[in-house]
Amino acid sequence: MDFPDFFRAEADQLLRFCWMLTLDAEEAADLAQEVMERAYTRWDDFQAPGQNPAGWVRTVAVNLSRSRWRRVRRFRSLLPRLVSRPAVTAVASDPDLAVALDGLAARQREAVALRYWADLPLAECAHEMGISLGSVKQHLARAHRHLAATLDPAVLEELVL
Amino acid sequence: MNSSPKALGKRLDDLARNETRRVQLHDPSLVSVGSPRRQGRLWLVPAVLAVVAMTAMLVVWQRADSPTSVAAGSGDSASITDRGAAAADGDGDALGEGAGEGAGDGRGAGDGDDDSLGEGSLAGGGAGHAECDLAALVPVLRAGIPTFDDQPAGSFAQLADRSQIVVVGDVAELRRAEATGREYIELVVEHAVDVVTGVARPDVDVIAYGAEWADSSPDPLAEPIAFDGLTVIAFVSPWSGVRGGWAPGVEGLYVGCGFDSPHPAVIENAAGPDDPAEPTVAELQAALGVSATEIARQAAARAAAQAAAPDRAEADETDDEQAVIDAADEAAGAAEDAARAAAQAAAEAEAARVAQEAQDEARREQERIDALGSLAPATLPEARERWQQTQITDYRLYYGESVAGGQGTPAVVDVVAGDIVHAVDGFGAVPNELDHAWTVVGLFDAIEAADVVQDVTFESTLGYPTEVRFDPDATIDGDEVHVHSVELVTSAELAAANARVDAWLASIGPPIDPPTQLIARHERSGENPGALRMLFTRPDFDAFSYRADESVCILVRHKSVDDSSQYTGEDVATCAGTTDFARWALQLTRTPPTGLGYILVVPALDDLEEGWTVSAEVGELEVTEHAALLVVDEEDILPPGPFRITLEFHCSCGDETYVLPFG
Repeated sequence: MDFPDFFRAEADQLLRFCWMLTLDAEEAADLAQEVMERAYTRWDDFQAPGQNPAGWVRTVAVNLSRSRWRRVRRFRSLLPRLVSRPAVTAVASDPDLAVALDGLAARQREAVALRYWADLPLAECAHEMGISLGSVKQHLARAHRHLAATLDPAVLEELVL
Repeated sequence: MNSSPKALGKRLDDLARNETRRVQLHDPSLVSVGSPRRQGRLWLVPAVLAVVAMTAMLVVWQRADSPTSVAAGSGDSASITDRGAAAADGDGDALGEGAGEGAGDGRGAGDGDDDSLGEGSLAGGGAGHAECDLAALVPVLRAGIPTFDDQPAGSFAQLADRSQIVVVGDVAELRRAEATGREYIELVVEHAVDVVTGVARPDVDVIAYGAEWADSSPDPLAEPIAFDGLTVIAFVSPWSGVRGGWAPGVEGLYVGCGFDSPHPAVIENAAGPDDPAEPTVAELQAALGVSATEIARQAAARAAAQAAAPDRAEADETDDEQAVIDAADEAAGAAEDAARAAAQAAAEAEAARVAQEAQDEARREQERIDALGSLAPATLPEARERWQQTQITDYRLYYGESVAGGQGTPAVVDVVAGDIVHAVDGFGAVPNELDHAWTVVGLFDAIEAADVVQDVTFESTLGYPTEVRFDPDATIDGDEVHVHSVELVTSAELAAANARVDAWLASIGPPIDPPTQLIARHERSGENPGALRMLFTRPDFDAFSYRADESVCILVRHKSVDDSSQYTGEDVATCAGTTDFARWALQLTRTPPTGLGYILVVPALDDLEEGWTVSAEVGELEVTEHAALLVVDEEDILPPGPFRITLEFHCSCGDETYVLPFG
């Protein structure tokens, strides 16, 4: 697969994943763009057998978001009147879920996105997050408690953590 | 509601899809990744090259003698004369037309001797060294470039708008390079200067574009060729796909034998009807609207630099080489300083006059508008009449628009004398057809002519529509229009605001040398780097302010990020319009060595002029005339709970107090 094909196949997915990490469309776009640029510059490396560029971009997105985006966003939440950008929950098309996501810690949100949105097995979640399997379970368990408190508990009742 | 994990995933996906529908990514292999929002621009990019190169007409170079003599010439003649050159369709117009004409025919190299590309020669005095001979050189620079289906800029000025910067400089060396499996021609540039601002751009040291040597004969640029006296004009934008990070537009590359000599286009020519076809640097500057004073200043600086050059050459032969070089540098610097001081004085006087005129016009316009009252018009005729009474014909319009409930796009439209002169969509791209953009009168006309108008609201003072939903033709499905969030700034307001912000910036301090490599990554900051002023400087970061077009921006650079190193994503830039100079607060990210966090507060201009105070329950505040910086230790403050930063702004328009909880 050449890079343009990969980009066409994965760009939207990556953008959505980055939104779940940042809860901000513009930041997600900047983050995803940076990840794609990094993928492009090392595209030749992905030609070797066994490479998983889709997983790689998710991992890079997680790592980048932990450094820059989390801090910026946290600060923005402190300055509701000085910064004009509306809160995520004010503009979300699914405000209940947006509120729930907004209340999750970054690692919990990463775990939720990888497990339930990307539909990855727990072991792969752990691999992409760079943490142990037990830690993934812990993050998901905490996320579940928060989501259950925020969303309709019935929605989460059948979630397998 | 389905409550399975799959359902949660689907719900997450729907939410993320909805929230990201207004943004999009750009394929780094197809666009200039340094400016991802500049859509619609065709750059010399590798993927395009790879696709088109097979179908484009390739220039052929048939060498007369040793294949390597140009690059590693033995000193007698690094000749590229008498080479044959053929385009795939045989008409010799390899770059300007006919993309696809040769598709699949396998031609391009070696079959068209009838169209010679060069009459001159790269006569060299030494190994890999050539003198400036454009007749021989330009074909080399064109060789292997595919045909582009480019949308012409129409003029140098328009091309400059599409480009991040326009630079001139000396070409020290030419070479072909390879990166990510693709080939490029690299121009190694010395003494690059932004021709508009006059600011040196040492970061523009390599300009590269895709050019694949597909001929069976040896590549003349396989080894670097050094030059004396070759100059380049380049309209470039960042592109991280190549070494050096700068790529020219299709119409963005011109070479000459000296700054005062004509510079023919290497690929396509952007010259408009009023532009010189092969400009000198001064002619280009004039075409770009650079003042005569600035043109003279830059010419003096170049002359000083050239005068210093022979001294440098001589220095190579002396025992005290460094001393001579230093003396030459000093002389050049003194000449440049003198020219700069004179130009600055003239420019400041002119700026003051322009600012005063802008303020006067804005005041007159405001008086006219105040007389209209502020009762929102209730009907379309009332609104139209109100708008006509304002006599506003020059303005900038911001709005969002969606058709048939589809994805909307914001737009910014500049109107002069009632006509659209420039428009960009939300990604900064120029629409193909300006008549797709709205003017106020155009909106009135459309509403009036619509079959159905669902709802419309008008601005209370000026009367222009601020939001409208209408169906132009009730018999057609899918043509319903929703124009919303319409905001209008008059040209007089804009000019007055710009002048005000410029005065504010000047009060901060003199312009500083910008961190060019870094700010180039922040799209707008690269357009006016000369205006950067330092708000704060600390051991671990610098905070700058600058104006770029009609925005005023804050840029924070962490010193742990070297200009030449890879961008780490730790820096922050934010901008707001000069007409609504905002109260800002930025978190400056914690730097690992110190463990400190920073909050930068930049009050609005009104507050600055009328008074403001700031206090905080934790951390240490550093307050200047222009901004405040709160330094906190994030690790310490998080456990104890919330704290407050209190900002008190005093303005005749109303005092405000902000209490910011943290924790």
